[in-house]
Amino acid sequence: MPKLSLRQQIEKNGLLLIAVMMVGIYWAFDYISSGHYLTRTLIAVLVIVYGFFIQTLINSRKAAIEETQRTQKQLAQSEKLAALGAVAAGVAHEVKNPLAIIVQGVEFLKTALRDNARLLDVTERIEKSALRADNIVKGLLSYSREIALKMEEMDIAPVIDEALTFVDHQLRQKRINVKKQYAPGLPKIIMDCDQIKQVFTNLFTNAIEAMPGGGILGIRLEQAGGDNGQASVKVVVSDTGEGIPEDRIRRIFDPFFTTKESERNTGLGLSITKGIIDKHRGAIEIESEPGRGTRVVISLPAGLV
Amino acid sequence: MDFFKKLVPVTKKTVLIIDDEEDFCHFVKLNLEETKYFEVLTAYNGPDGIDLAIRYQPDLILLDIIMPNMTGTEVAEALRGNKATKDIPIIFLTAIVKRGEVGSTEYQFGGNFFIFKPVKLDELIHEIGAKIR
Ligand SMILES: Nc1ncnc2c1ncn2[C@@H]1O[C@H](COP(=O)(O)OP(=O)(O)O)[C@@H](O)[C@H]1O
Ligand SMILES: [Mg+2]
Repeated sequence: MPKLSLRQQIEKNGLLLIAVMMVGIYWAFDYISSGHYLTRTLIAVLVIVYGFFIQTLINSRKAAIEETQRTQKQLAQSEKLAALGAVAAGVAHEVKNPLAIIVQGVEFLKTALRDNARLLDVTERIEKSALRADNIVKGLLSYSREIALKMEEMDIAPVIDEALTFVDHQLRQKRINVKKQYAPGLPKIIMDCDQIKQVFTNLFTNAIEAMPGGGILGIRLEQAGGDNGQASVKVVVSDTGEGIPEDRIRRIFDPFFTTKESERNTGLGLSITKGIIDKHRGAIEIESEPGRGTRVVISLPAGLV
Repeated sequence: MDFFKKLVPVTKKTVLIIDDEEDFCHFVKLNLEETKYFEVLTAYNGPDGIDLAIRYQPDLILLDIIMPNMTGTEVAEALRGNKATKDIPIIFLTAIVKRGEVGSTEYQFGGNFFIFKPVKLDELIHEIGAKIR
């Protein structure tokens, strides 16, 4: 329980305090007129009980109001995401088609220019940029309720390793060591591997950004028994970075919540990540010790959804 | 790719692409024909695509879903309902797939595979290879 200031104490227990004061005042008057000792005690107790009940009532009302406010906020949040998803779904078709034309066109140029290293480099950069744009659209699409996932049954380890190759350059640049611990014989997961890849790219990127001076990126894979006996795979991504203060951790899944200055950071990473994990009927939790590091724990159900 | 390398170009496979994006059809045709293992037919709408499919009996059809007038889903139904074309494998090559359009296992689309645009050439060739084999 967090420590309350004197003022908060009074606010929280105000009526109880009033009751006690009433008793005091009553006692003082009564002392002067010197009533029976037992009567005085009885009345004092009654007044205190009265104050206690009123205070409890008010406290529980306050808690109920806070609860509805919280669910309303969550609802507004998911509505905001759904609206974003609907816009994304509408735009996706119009954006992905031209991107597909660019990619196919560039692929042809790549074959035609394979003997010219300079031009080949240009075409490869164009293709990479087109695919990056596609990734952004894909991320927004993960908010959409009407878009189908492309589910396939597969091992998760290679998908994680591929996500790792996307951030390879940054890992080396910042001298971050990767520590992998993959348990053998893990069950296969039914997943949309593009989306799961995106989840881990987001998590790795966050971990790297939290360790500008280097550190250790840990990836642990193990089997866990889910509820009702269904097996699941647990993935723990940890870093030895700056960590996340308590008051911030509640907001990190909010869309557009970011503490970073760079324009590449949209604050959508974790909210997209959560959307994808939810769609796979998995769970995601974040634990952090400010100054020491952060752990993201994801579990995904194995086998048929 | 290896699979196609073993083939002599004489046994070129015919691929029909049906998509209202003409430039997309054009570039896919260029790319696939460049490999020397494919011959590519293009149609920019459903009815033309069905005509070509019946006339040329391609080894595989790449089919867009969101097209004006006749959607890819309707084209696939028509192809499945026609004796001449019912066994030709179809890969849906499309920008997005709506939830209601997919089958129960989600990655199957009425028994057909789908690939999302944009797609890199090697992945496209890999999926075509897997289907024709
Ligand atoms: N591994 C981490 N270590 C420290 N802070 C983190 C970590 N992951 C996320 N955060 C915090 O959560 C915020 C939201 O993350 P995210 O949704 O990925 O958006 P972005 O990375 O664009 O800021 C970040 O701005 C950062 O403050
Ligand atoms: Mg991020």
